Amino acid sequence: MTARRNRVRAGWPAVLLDATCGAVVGAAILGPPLTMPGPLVIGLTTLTIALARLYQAEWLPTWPLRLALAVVAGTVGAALALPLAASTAPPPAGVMAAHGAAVFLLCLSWRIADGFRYRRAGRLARAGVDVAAFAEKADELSSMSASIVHVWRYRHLLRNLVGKHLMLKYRGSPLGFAWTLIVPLVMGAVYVLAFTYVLRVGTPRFALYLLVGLLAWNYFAGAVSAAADAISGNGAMLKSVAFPRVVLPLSVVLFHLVQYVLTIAVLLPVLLFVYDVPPGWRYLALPVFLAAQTLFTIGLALGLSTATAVFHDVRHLVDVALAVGFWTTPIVYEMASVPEAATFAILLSPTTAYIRAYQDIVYYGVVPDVALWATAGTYAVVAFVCGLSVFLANEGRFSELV
Amino acid sequence: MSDTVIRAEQVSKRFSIHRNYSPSLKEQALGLFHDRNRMVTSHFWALRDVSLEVRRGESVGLVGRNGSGKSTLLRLIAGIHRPTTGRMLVRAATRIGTMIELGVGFHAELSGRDNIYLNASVYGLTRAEVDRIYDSVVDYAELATFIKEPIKNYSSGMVVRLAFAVAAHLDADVLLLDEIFAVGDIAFQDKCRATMRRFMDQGRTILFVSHSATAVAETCSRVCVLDAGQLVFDGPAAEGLGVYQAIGSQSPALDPAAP
Repeated sequence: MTARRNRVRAGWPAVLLDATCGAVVGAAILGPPLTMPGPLVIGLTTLTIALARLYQAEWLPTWPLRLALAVVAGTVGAALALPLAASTAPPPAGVMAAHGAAVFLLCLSWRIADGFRYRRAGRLARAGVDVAAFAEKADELSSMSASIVHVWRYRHLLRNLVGKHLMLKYRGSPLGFAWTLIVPLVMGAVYVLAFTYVLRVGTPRFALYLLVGLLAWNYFAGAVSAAADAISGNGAMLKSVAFPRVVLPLSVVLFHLVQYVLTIAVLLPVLLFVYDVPPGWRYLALPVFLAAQTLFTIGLALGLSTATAVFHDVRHLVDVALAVGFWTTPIVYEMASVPEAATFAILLSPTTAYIRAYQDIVYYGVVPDVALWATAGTYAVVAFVCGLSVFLANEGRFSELV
Repeated sequence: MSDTVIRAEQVSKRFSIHRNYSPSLKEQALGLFHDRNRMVTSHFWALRDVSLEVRRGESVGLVGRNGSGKSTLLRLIAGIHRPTTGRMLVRAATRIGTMIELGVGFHAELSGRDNIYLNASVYGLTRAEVDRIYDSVVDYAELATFIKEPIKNYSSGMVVRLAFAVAAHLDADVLLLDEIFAVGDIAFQDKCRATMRRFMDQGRTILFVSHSATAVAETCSRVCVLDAGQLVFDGPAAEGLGVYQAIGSQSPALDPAAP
């Protein structure tokens, strides 16, 4: 009984943590300076470990052993990946180090939270409760959201909520979906007028450059701003039914995603035709970055909806932060026109990676470089892991807070 | 034991009540420097050491004065709240139908049809499941002619009928009902009673909060009396209702902090 209880399956965040440790140590063994992006090593290591499925093996019961294995795997992974990355320009070391540290800390916190959950299960078992037959209601609720399985069980709720947002938005307005196109077009026109005729920005094809960034930004900002109220604005629902609360902020983000995709589907072909942009394989990278941006947005939405439920005034901070974020992201200006001293700061701005990737693909006509892939991926994973863990830790209190 | 569906073990629930301030980051920050600015928080025990075991197929009436913790107990069983101390255990794979509030997620701008789908999915029903019960729900609510209309055009009675119709079609093993008979006209209340009896005949477990002694007497074989968050009686219905009446005739001192 005791032995069975202690055999804990490592969750994905735990795998990621061990892989990070492995990659950091492995990279140190191979010797500085590390000329390749850290997340690439972590990704490869994670893949190695997951593929080997050694994680659930009986003979690796303790975490020091697993960590040792991860270090070995990390070193091997880094060695294999080095020649691969040697041909590409390395990203700024500071940026990568910051990302690595962030991933490490967040995975560590997740691991600790995991530990608490299993200790609770152990307590129940010691108290003689048949854990298999009885589920503690509170645990069921938190694990409900933790596992994709339970959100999957409530997929129809998710779909109906997204559908509800869409119906409410377009019902009763004669122009319907056209509003979704008109608003960014008018905003874009105003910016184009202001920047080409008043401020005289030298960017050629400025309207194309601007719209690519502006539409992506509107998706991000709209989703984050609306999702901040996803918990605090649904008090009646939270108080009267138990369901995985993750569904609420998730539905808001997905609603904005649907809107964005519809807008792009209409506007992008028109823009490409008008500006005579050649086709190419690079467009295949668009959905990948869109997926990463969505994951990042979901992470922020989860974290912020929790924060507004606990502290009501976070709502104001969100709006201020979004206003700042708009100008620290190269949307209306080009990266090249940023002074040398500020480049680093702009590069660290989380949304920069996604917006720049879209601009690379559509406006500059190139495939985004390794640093962009790595940064976009890192921010997505960090935001998601962090947001979800904060959300799950507070989920049980939502019904009392709102 | 093998028949037990719900087991509460010394469950207590404490709510925090913030006075003067709404919780905000600013107050937290100021509170670090000045005692004067610290949030004034008081605690209220909605439930204290409640132990309860409900077997499959039982119908249990929960009675007690306002603020005695009946609804809180239902919410703990449903998993909406978590116990502060103690454990609330529910047999695995039990579908719980929570009718604490009717029409959860209803939106006035949406049609009756859309609201049925939305409301049912809040309880975890899939689209296919709703498709199966849809006609029956509309019949039950007697709203066939208005079902495509936005429910903002419904009378409040029609909205309640629609909401109860959905709730009555949830295929739940355990039903948690919170004073649902307080709504609707006489014909509707009769319908509710008939539905309750059907649930009982089907062998579902029912926990039923009500102030109406007659409703409890006719549906429940067992009664639990709560007073000031404590379980003061658990036993046969007739005896329990006697205890409840005795408590009710005492000074009706309501806790102003009760939710």
